[in-house]
Formats: sequence, C-alpha cells, structure tokens
Amino acid sequence: MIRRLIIIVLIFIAIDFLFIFYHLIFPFAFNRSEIKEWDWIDRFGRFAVLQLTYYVSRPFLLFGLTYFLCTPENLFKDYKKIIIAIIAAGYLGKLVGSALGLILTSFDSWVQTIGREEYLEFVREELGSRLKVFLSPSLATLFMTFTALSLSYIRRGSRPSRQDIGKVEVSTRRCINV
Amino acid sequence: MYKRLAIIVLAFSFVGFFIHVYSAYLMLVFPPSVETELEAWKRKERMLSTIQSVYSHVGLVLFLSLIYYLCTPNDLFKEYKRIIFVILVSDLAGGMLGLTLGILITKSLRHAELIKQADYIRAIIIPTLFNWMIRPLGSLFEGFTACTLSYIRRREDQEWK
Repeated sequence: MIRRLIIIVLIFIAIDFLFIFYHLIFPFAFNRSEIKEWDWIDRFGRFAVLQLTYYVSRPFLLFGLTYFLCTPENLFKDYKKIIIAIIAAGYLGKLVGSALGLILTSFDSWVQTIGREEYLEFVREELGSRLKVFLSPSLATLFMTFTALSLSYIRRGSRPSRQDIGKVEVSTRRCINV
Repeated sequence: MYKRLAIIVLAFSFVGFFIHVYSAYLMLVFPPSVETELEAWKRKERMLSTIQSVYSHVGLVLFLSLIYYLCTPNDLFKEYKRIIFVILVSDLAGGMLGLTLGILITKSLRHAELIKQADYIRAIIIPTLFNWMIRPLGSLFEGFTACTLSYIRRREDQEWK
C-alpha cells in the first residue's frame, strides 16, 4: 500500500513541476524576436488547454486513485508512516519533476534556436524567486491524500484486513492439524 | 463536538473572506486622488498585507490545532458523513457571512462611495465567487485530517489506559 501511495503522489507532484518548467518557456520565448507570433500563440493555447484539463482533473484523479488503490491495513498503526511517506514522496516528486522539466525544456526547439545557456540563466533567476515552492512540503496534497486514505479505511469498516485474514487462516490450519 | 467544529470552521472562513474583501476594497479604490491621503492609504495597505501574511502562516496551524484538540469524534466510523457535512456547510456559511459583512462595511467607507455601488459589489463578488466554491474542499481535507488524527490520538490514549 505504502509503495503504491508513494508512486501516486510522486507522479502527480512530478507532473506539477513539469508544468512549472514548461510554463517558464513561454515568457522566455515571448521576449525574443526570433519567435514567430502565430506559432507562439498556437503553442501557448495548446499548453493552456492541457494545463487547465490537468488542474481540473487532478483532484478527482489523485483522490480517486488514493481512495481505491491505497486502503491502509491499519490506519491506527500506520498513520505516521503514511504522513512521512506522503511528504517524502512530495519532495522526491519535486526533484524528479524539476530534473525532467529542466532536461525536456532545454531540448525544446525554441530554446535550441535562442540559446540553451541563456535559457538556463533565465531558469536560474526564475527559480530563485520561487524557492519557497520547492522547499515547503506539499501540504494540500498531504491533506487530500490523508483524507482519501481515512475514508478508504472507513469504507472497509470493520471488515478484517488482509493481514488479519492471514492470521486467522494460519491459526485455523494449526487448530485443524492439532 | 459538532458545534465546536462548526464554530471553528465558520470563524476561519469568515476571517479569510473578510480580509479578502477588505483587500479588494483597497485595490479597487486605490490610489486616492488627494496627495495627503496617499500616505494614510499606503499605511493601511501595509498593515493589511502584514495581517494577511501573518494569517496565512498562523491560520493553518491554528485551524488544525483547534480542531485536533477540541473536536475529537466519539466514533469516526459512524460520524464521518456528519463531520464532512458540517465542515462543508460551515465553510460556505462563513464565507457568505464574511463576504456580506465585508461588503456592507467597506461599502459604507468614504472612498467606496466614489464608485457606483452596483459596480463595486460586482467587482468584488465575481472574482470571489470561484474562491468561495473551491475553498470548502480545502477546509474539508484539512479539517477531516485533523479530526482523524485526533480520533487516532484518543484511541491510543484509551489503549494505554
């Protein structure tokens, strides 16, 4: 369960940060005269639609995936582990998303024509002003996923967990053997 | 427990929206035309941004702590639907209250009278409406997490005893 939770949170946060990096390309390219105006508008339009679709579907997807795929075996025992896992996966997702974003955007055709070094300088300046976003934990994701996990655990209710079923099976077998 | 939870959620939502409306008021009627008023205006804006910054840092911690210590559910498995309902309704009500009271108070201020009242209200309500609809979800996740953790703490305490 924890592994699945880490993967889900990591993927979503990584996509968030990938979007941040792609968002940086447009103001960078817009200020350069080499870019054809219509090409710029066309790409920006497609990107804006994609981003909007993602931000609208993100809460449903994240909540739904966590709710259905990550039911804790025992919330009362595992809650600390769960919180640490979500926060750690958030930071890891930020790292992965930033690295991927930097690599992918620096190979973008616009950046290639304008100059990669200039772009990297621009990214460094921009990210310096957004340092708080990188350093602070993703609290909104933490609250959302923890609520989803709690509700998922409540949904299972008093039904026994897989661990409990396993224990009962073992003890029944022992009784039969005796 | 529900009454306490409703009061806490309502109060935080109210304060959040009241600050929001007041900052919109300052933005809308800024800058004043008279030079002597400019200094007083800047002072007001500075004070509001300080309050906003303090509230954004302290608000969440206070909100979570108050729910965690004051709103422990007796049985989370039975009460979770009611908890969700109370948080959502209280947040919407608090937002509505903050918005209404904020508009009423700022409307009566001297500078707002310079703008047409209908335009003023429209200019404040339209951008706030989306926030008013989305915010309860955030409060729900925060409040429910605090309630769950509080319930876990109670269970642990009971087991220790």
